[in-house]
Amino acid sequence: MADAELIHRCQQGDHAAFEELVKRSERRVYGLIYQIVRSTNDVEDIAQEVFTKLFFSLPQFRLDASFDAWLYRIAVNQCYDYLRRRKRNPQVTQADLSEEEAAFFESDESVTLARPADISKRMEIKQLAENLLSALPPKERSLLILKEIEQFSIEELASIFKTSKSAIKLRLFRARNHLKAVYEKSKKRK
Amino acid sequence: MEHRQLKGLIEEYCEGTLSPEVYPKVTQHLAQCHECKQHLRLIRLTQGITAASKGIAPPFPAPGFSRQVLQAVAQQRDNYLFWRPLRIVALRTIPAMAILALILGVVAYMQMTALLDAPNKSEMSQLESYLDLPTNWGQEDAVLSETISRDPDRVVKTLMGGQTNPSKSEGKVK
Repeated sequence: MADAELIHRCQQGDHAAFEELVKRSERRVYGLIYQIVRSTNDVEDIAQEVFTKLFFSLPQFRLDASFDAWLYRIAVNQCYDYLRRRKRNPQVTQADLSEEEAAFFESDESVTLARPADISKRMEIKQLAENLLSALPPKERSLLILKEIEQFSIEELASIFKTSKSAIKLRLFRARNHLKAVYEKSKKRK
Repeated sequence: MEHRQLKGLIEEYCEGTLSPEVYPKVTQHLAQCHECKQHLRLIRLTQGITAASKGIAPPFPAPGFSRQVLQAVAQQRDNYLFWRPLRIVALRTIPAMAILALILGVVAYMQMTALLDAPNKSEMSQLESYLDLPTNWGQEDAVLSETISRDPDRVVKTLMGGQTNPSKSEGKVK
C-alpha cells in the first residue's frame, strides 16, 4: 500500500494503518533521534513521543505535502524539546586524528563511501567521525545529518525547519565551518 | 551571473539539483574562483566526516514498538480530547489578540501625536509640574536672555563665581 493511502486511512482513524505507518518509519526515526541526542537509553521514549504526536497531528496533514518532512520536523522538534528539558548536551568525546585519518576525511574516498579494507581501521574512522559530529551543537548536527545522511535537499530542509532556502544555506555553512574547526583542532592535538 | 549568486549555488551543485544551463556556469566559476573552491572543499570535507559516521548503528526499535505506540496513543487520547477545544480557541484567539494590540497601539500613537502637535495651556502646565519646573520659568528665561544681550561680561563673571577682578584672583592663586 502506498504511503499516501496509508496516511489517508490513518486520518480516518484506522489504527491498523497507523501501526503499519509506524513500522515503516520507526527505524529511520530511531536513527535520526539517536544522531541528534546521542543517548541510546532515551531514543525509545523520544520515538514514542514522536509517533504519539504524529498520530494526533495527522488530521492536519495535507496529502500533497511531504510526509517525510512532516515526520522529521516532529522528530527534530521533539529532540530539541528533550535536550532543553534535560538541560544537558550530549556527551562530547574529543577525537584525536592521526595524519592518515585526516587524509582519509580530506580525500574523495570518504565522500564516495569507499572504506578502508581493514575492519578495525574502518571502525576507528567511524568512531572518530562520530566523535567529531558529537562536538557540534544539536541543531547544527541535526542539520548536517538530515542533509548528508538522510539526503534531504535544501528545499526539503527549508520545509522541515520552516524557513527559507537561503537561511538553510547559511545555517549549513555555519555548521560546516564549525565541524571543520573541530576537525582542525583534533588534527592539531594529535 | 555574479560571484555571490554562483557561490550561493554550490550546495545545489553538490546535490546535483542544478539545471543543465546553470551547472556549467558554476563548474567554470569553480575552476577560477579561489573562495568558491574553498567553499566546495569545506562541503566535501564535512560530507566526508558525516558519511564516515554513517556506519555507526543506531539502537534498534524493539519488536513490539508499534503496539507500544498505540497503547500510548490510547492513554493520551482522553487528555488530548479534553484540551483540544481549549487549544483550538487559544490558537484562534492569538491573531485576534495581535490585531487588538495593533489597534490599541495605533490609537495610543494618534493620541500622543495630537498631544504633542497642539499643546494647550493646561497640558503645558501638566508637563511643567511633571518636570518639576518653577511656574515662572518662562519669565526667568526671558530675563536671562535680556541680561545676556545687554551686558554679557557681567553674566560671564556671575557664572564664574562672582570674580569681578581677574588680576586680583590671579594674585591670590600665586
